[in-house]
Amino acid sequence: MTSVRNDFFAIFGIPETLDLDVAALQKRFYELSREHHPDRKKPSERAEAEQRTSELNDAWRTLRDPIKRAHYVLERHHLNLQPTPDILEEMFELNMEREEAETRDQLEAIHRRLLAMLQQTDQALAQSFTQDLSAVRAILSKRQYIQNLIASTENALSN
Amino acid sequence: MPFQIDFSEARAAKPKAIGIDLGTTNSLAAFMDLTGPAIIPGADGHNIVPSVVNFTDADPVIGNEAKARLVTHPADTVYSVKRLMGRGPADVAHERLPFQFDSAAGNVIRLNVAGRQWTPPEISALVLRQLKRNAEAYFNEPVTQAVITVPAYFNDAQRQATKDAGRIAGLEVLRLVNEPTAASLAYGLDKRSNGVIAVYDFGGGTFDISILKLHDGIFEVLATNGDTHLGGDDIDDLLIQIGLEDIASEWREDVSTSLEAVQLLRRAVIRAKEELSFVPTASIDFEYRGRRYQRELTRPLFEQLIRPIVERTLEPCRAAIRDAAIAIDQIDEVVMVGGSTRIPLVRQAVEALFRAKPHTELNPDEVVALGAAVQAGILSGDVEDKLLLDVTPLSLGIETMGGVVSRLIHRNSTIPASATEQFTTAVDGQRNVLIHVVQGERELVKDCRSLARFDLKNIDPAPAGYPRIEVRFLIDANGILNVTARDQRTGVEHSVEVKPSYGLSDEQVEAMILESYEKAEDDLRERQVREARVEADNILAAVEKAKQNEAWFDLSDDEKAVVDRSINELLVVYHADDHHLIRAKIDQLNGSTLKLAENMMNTAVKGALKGTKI
Repeated sequence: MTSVRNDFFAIFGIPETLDLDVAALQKRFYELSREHHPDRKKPSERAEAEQRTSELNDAWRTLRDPIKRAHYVLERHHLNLQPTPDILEEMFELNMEREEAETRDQLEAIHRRLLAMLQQTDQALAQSFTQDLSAVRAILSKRQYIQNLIASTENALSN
Repeated sequence: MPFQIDFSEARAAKPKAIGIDLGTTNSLAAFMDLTGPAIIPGADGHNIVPSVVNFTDADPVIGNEAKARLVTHPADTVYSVKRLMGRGPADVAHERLPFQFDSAAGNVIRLNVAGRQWTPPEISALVLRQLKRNAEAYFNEPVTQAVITVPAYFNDAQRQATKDAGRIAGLEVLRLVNEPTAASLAYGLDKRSNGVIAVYDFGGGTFDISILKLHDGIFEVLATNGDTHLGGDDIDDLLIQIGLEDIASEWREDVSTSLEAVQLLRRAVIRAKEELSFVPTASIDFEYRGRRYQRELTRPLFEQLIRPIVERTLEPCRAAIRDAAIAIDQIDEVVMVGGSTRIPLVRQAVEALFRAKPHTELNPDEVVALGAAVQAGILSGDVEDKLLLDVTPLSLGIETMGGVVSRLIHRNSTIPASATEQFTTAVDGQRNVLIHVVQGERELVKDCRSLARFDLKNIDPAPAGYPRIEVRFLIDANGILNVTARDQRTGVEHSVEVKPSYGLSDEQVEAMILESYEKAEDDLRERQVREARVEADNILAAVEKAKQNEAWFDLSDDEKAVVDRSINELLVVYHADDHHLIRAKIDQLNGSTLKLAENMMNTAVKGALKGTKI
């Protein structure tokens, strides 16, 4: 079972880019919706319009979100997430700290730190969009690690 | 009626589509007037048709009269059936329901009422048929198309059941539209702002919250959430429980086993509840078999009792705001929909959560039906400036190894939404692939709602992993799943057999449509016979009267005999159940009295010339 995806950039009629103007994309989304939405078509044209609009909606949902967009672009280039040795080391240490945390206070402090780091990676991700894809691969993998750490910390906090 | 004037040509070209709010407690129909949406009144003059059906007589009675019979004939009167739509007997096994149902009836609830079994879509169809009839009487033309509203948080089976109800009622369901979104269309907020609005919809049986972004006539739903089993009914049930316990201790008698007593008490608590929205104290006034129970209910006590129910609406609101990825202060306006939003505590809770004064200008009972009419206008091309982009309320996934859900379409995705997956075989020569589709937010299949099993059949025998079948999951604009499959190597559409987990099969719906058509034909024939007899009565009376006129005496004996024979022939067929025959004899009598009519005209003219009164 593998998923099959369309060319989202082509649907919007724009070249592939990570550094997108979301406001302009939204404007285009509304224009295309008015043009293709099945509600605005004759009954005989609705099935085709439905298909087209579902692809447009899928494209809008993916491209408007920087993280989904980044994953999508890597997928298009058949690239997986690839952390740098620095990131691996940093994450390894964070994980140790989390495992060694004994009190609830310590866990909560780690949780706060992780949330702040997640925010930083999201900003770094936006900046990486003007660089090459290897930077994107590294930051997205870091983000994934942080998310996993947040989930396990929250799990520990709820026990 | 303003529409009698003359739009006959325009109407002939395009069938009229109405908007229907099929509610738990009440239902309404509306249409797009030249100036905007308007409610279609019923024959009894009321806008609201209570969603109540009574089966005491040979023909079902629907609406206000059925509501009155809730007390007199509680055993054969069905209400709040919307709560049962798209659910199975096991789902309601632990709920206190005022009906008997067949617990072994598989995946559809079958109510035992008045000696036969009824599924919830069939009962809803009776309510829809009443609304259809009201509209037909109002427009004096057939109405065959409708937009029907559903709670935004309805799942696939609940939506499908609503669509089935429409089909059984003889309506082409142009679209299912979510109730809060419909309300936002009716409010015309798009003219006021390009902003973000929240619609808080607390009705008789369901609760919805939707967050929308408005942009030059585009209504884009950002997120929706809710509870399809939370509404004013829950408040009523709570008060009834308290009342029953109170009565038991005061009278030393348990009246809870009497359906009539419970319905009388329901009516009494609803009255008190409704009064408390406007006055600080009300009383629950209950009389049963000559005994009387009265209890003062103050607003503070009432609020203390219902607070837990009202608070259950707030978590879905917070979840919707989170999913919309906005801050509360970005919400510009809050719109209130549904009868339960008349309760002051509900308004306070909403105001406190959203930090904005909620809109209550439009009648909360009517606004959803009005919005459905607007959507009907959009679909027929009459309304061009508005476009609704709604979302699916629940994530859609398929079962994978170990009972884990693989999510294909996330909740709050704009619909139509689709996902395409490739499937193959696991063993050599495998001929079928079974895909189990579920709806819900949990990781394990057992915690989600099973939607259907799709069987990809007749796969050409091949080594394992060799076949490539592309399956497309499309959630359409109604929020209903459609699945298609294609063999990737041959490009041929692959057959998919659908086994819905809940609800009626297509064949069952077809059979019900057929049955209701036959019923409708009977109805039509009976009406035509009745109309023909009325016409016969009129002409017979007119001829009898004319026989007193001097014009009658001017006729020859032969002419008189022809008229008398025609009268007799009409009387002979009068009681036959054939309107064609009655009409033929009416025409014959008309023909035979032409001379008489002419004579009468002449007499009248003569009389008028003479200045005498005739």
